[in-house]
Order: sequence, then C-alpha cells, then structure tokens
Amino acid sequence: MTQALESMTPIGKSGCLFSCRQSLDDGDRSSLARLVICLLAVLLAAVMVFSLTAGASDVGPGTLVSAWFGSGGISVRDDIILHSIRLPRVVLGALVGAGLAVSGAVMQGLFRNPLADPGIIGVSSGAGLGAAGVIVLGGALPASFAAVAGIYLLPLAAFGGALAVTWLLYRIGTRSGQTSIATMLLAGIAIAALSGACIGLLVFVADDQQLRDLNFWGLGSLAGANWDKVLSAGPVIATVLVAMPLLGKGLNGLFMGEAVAGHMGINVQRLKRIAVVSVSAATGASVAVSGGIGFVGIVVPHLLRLVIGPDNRYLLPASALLGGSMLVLADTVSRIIVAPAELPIGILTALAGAPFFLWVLLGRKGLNAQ
Amino acid sequence: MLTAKGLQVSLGKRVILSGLSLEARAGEITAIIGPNGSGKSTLLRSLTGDLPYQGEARLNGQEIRTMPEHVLARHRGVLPQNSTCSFPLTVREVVRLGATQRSVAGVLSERELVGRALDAVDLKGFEGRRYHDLSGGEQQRVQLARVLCQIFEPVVAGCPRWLFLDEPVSSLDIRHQLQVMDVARSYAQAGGGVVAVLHDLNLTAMYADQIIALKRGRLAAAGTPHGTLTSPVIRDLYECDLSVGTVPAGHRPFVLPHGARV
Repeated sequence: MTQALESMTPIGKSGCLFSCRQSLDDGDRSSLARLVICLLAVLLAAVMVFSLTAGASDVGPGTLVSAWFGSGGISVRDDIILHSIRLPRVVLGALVGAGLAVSGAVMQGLFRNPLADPGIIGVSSGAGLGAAGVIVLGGALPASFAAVAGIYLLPLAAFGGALAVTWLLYRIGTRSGQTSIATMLLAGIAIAALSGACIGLLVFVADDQQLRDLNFWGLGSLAGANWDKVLSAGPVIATVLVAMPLLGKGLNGLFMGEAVAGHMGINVQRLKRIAVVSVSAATGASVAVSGGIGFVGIVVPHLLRLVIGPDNRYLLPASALLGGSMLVLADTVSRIIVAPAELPIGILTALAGAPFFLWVLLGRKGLNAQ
Repeated sequence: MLTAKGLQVSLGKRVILSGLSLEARAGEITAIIGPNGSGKSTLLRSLTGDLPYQGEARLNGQEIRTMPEHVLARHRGVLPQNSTCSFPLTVREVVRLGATQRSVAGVLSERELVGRALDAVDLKGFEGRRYHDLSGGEQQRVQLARVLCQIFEPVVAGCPRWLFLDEPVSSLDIRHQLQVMDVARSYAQAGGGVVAVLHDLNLTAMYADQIIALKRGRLAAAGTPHGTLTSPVIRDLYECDLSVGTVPAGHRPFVLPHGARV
C-alpha cells in the first residue's frame, strides 16, 4: 500500500518564462525574479563588451567592430591588446565575480545568515595560505608531480586551503545541528590570524621573486590575467556555478533550519557537502588567480535579496550575473581611473564594500536578530 | 499504522527512552504527555526519523530508520515547536517550501495548493504578507500550512499520512491553540494520523483519542482520555496535587491543579 506514495513525483516548474504575471501583493516574486535574471544577463554582456573597448591604449569600440565584424582585419598590436590582454581579463573577471558572489550567497544560505562570506569568515585566508605555500615551497615538490599538476597546482592548493578552513569552521561552529554565527565568526578570526602567521613565515623564507608574487595577494588584482589562468582556474570556479541547480532548492529548505529541511525530504548532509566543496573550490581558485577581492559575496546577494527576495533558485543565478558584471565593471574602472597606471581592484571593492557591510550590520540591530 | 516495540533511544551513554512499545492508529489524534524531561520530544523525534533508535519502529509498515529523507517526507510531515526564518520571506514563499510532493491526483498546481493550505489554517489572503511581520500565532499557523502542503491528502491510495506535532501550541493563546488543534482533528477525521506532544492536559482531554503517558523514559500509562486522565494516574505522573473531574459529569475529563505537593 505504500507503493503509491513512493511513486509520486516532485512538482515540476509551473509555467514558463513570464507566463504568470501575478502582482507582488500575493507574495509571489518568481516572475519578477525571472525578469531580473534576463536583464542581468543583458547587463553582463554589455559590461563585458564595454570593458573590452576601454583602457589605457587607443583600442576602442571602432577597433572591436572591425575586429569582429569587419572584413579588413586589424593590426597585430590591436589584436593582441583585444584578444590576448583584455579578453582573458574580462572573462576571468566575470568568472571570479560570479564565483565570489555565488559563494557568498551559498555561504549565507548554509549558515542562515546574510553576513556570512568566504572573505569574512577566513575561507579566503585559508586559500591564500594554500597558494602562498605553493609559490614558496612549490620548488621542493617532486618534479614529476609538479609536471602532472602543472598550471592546476596553484588553484588546487588554494582550493585545499579553502576547503580545510570551511570544514574546520563548520565543525567548530555547529553543535547538534545548530550553527552559531558568533562562534563561527570568532573562529574565522582566529583561523585568519593563524593563516596570516603562516603566510608571514612563508614570506620570511621566501626569495625576492617569490616575495613579488606573494605581495600580489595583499591587494587583489586581475592584472595578471591571461588565457592560461582562465583555463586553469575557470573550470574550478565554475564548479559552484554548475552546482547552483543542485543547491537552490536545498538551501531554500534550510530557511527554517536543518531539522525542517530534513523533514521536507532534503538530504542535509549531502547538501552541506556539495555546498562546502563547491564554495571552497570557487573561492580557492578565485583567490589563486586574483588575490583578495573582498565583499563581492556580501554586497551582490544582499542587493538582489532586496529586489527579488531570498529564493535561492533565483538568487544564485542572479548573483552570478550581477557579481560578474560588478567585478568586470570595477576592473574597468580600476584600469582607466588612474591610466596609464592601474589601481588594484581589491582596493575598490573594499572601499565600496566595507561601508556597505557596516550599513547592513546597523540595519540588523545585532548579529542574532532574526 | 505507527507501531513501536522495545524502543530504546540513547544520547551518548545516557538512556533517554527504554522498553517502549506503543501503537498509534490513523484517523485518531494520539497525544504524548508527561513531565519535563520524561522523553516526550525524544520519542517524537525518533518516530519522525530524526533520532537513531534501537528496537523496532514502523511507519505504515516500514522500519523508520531504513527510510531515507525523501521517502519519509512522503509519509509524514513535522511541525516543530517554533520556527525561526533566517531571511525575509513572504507567507507564500514559506508555505510553498512544503510543496515538494505532487499529489496522486496531480490536479492541484502549486498556487492552488498554497491557497488551500492557507485556507485550512484560516489564513486566507495572507499570501503577500511578510512572515516576520506576523504574530506568533499567525507564524505557527503559516508553518502548519507549510507542513500541510507537504502531506496535503491525509490518505493516498489507502495509505495514511502522518502529521507529527511537537508542542505545537505551547506559545499560543487559547483561541490559536484551538485553531491549530482543530486543523489536526480535521486531518485525523479525514483518515490521516496525528501524533502530538502536548503539555496542556485539558487540551489533551479535548482533542486526544489516545494518550501515551511517559515518565522517566518509560511508558507510564496508555489508553483513552477516560482511562488515562484519572486522578491517581496524573497525580503520580506529574507528582503534584490535583483533581480530575468531568464536564458534563461523566463525560470529558478536566484537570484542576491544587499545588506542587502530592
């Protein structure tokens, strides 16, 4: 008699794009969310094209048009600037921005707190330690291993560092199924300090070239972008984007806590594993290629929640699109604001993000306010 | 049918429940009562599949510990004592979280399901309200609507579904207590099973068809309200001075406490 219950299927998506235009008064923000996602996709494309045509050199929209649509072709110099310098940088910026924003949104869903972020709770510092370890101590690895790991060694090490810190934080912050945000934040501070001390040790033993490479983490920048970096870090960052459809519904279940999610049929342990691994991968790879770019993971999901609500089925893809757009835009600004020099993008995101974080904090009347 | 035989639950080395055998039938409200720390919630949580147990516990014929989350979710819904929501959702967004199972009839859209569930808890038209702006009583009824969404039909192909309530009314005023318990009663009358942990003995007398009384992790008494809610049983159970009368005489029991000493 139980077979009938077993054979029931989950409810499918009802209706297609924009088909149900109910007013917001009935509490349904899903059609608005779909519209916003479409607009954000257009925005990302527009920002990427704009970023390709802006910069210190005179390669502008005209060159882009003749390169892509013209018959005559463009000079070798212009081709290099457009396709070997700017394009990988724009693609990397979009990937890193999307990865950081989605990682932030997933962390916030997992910890059930809108202020959780890989940068703030120390996951990024763990990734930095992994990356610094490879830069300074990588030479000591067996040559055969280094040859096999190749360009993936750095993102993988950063991923390992990020994964270790996330796992540690979750174990420390969670008691009998309840995750304490205060414990987690304090543990994050301790772990970040520990990572910082370890990085300090690595700096102490590093040679001049390694010091130059290490220094690059402090500020965060996309300046070193090239196709190698896109190909090595891109797939790792993309894990969190690929995991989005698996995570959206499950994270929604966590709105009311882990016990309720379990009662609704969600495999919470599996959900946590997917979330932790994919966030660590995306954060680690982002840190490996671009250093410490902060606050994207807090600002982007928070702004979107104000407009389309917290439903993760829409919040995650929307965060990816807006995060990509914002980082590419910030990178463009950092390239042209003090041209021909460049402002590290991490300075820009922190200048805008830190006050925003405080503003959110003030609006919440304390960390544990619900 | 919900049955347990020789049920034992331990947290660490401490034995919380031992040697418990019980039976709850679909179509009835089964109340679990007992003093604080007697193992009521532990019993409920082992029957909902949240806690590991030794012995035997079967829900609709299946051993509960062998049922994965998604299978359990088709057989039973659980209303916790209180639920905090971590993000600003609308009432519709909360209720539709429960709409994960397609009814066998398959005719209700998610939108209709949410509407009917809200209707059942007397919150028609609340879809667009913000969950955080509601009173405690309204929030608890929204949560009940969410659980109802999950197991909307009390009987599917002859197989009953189960509504587990963990102190569902302990923070509600008397009218909202009755409202929530009325929903539970309708669910049972339509053929579903209801198992509720209750503190209020008079509410228990009003709504329960069967009572399971626990004391120090063991079964103290079981049976109908008439057989179980008697002065000697309740006095011994809670170790306080009280008298049990009936209104009207010989009908429904009521409990009148006198003092904390026997």
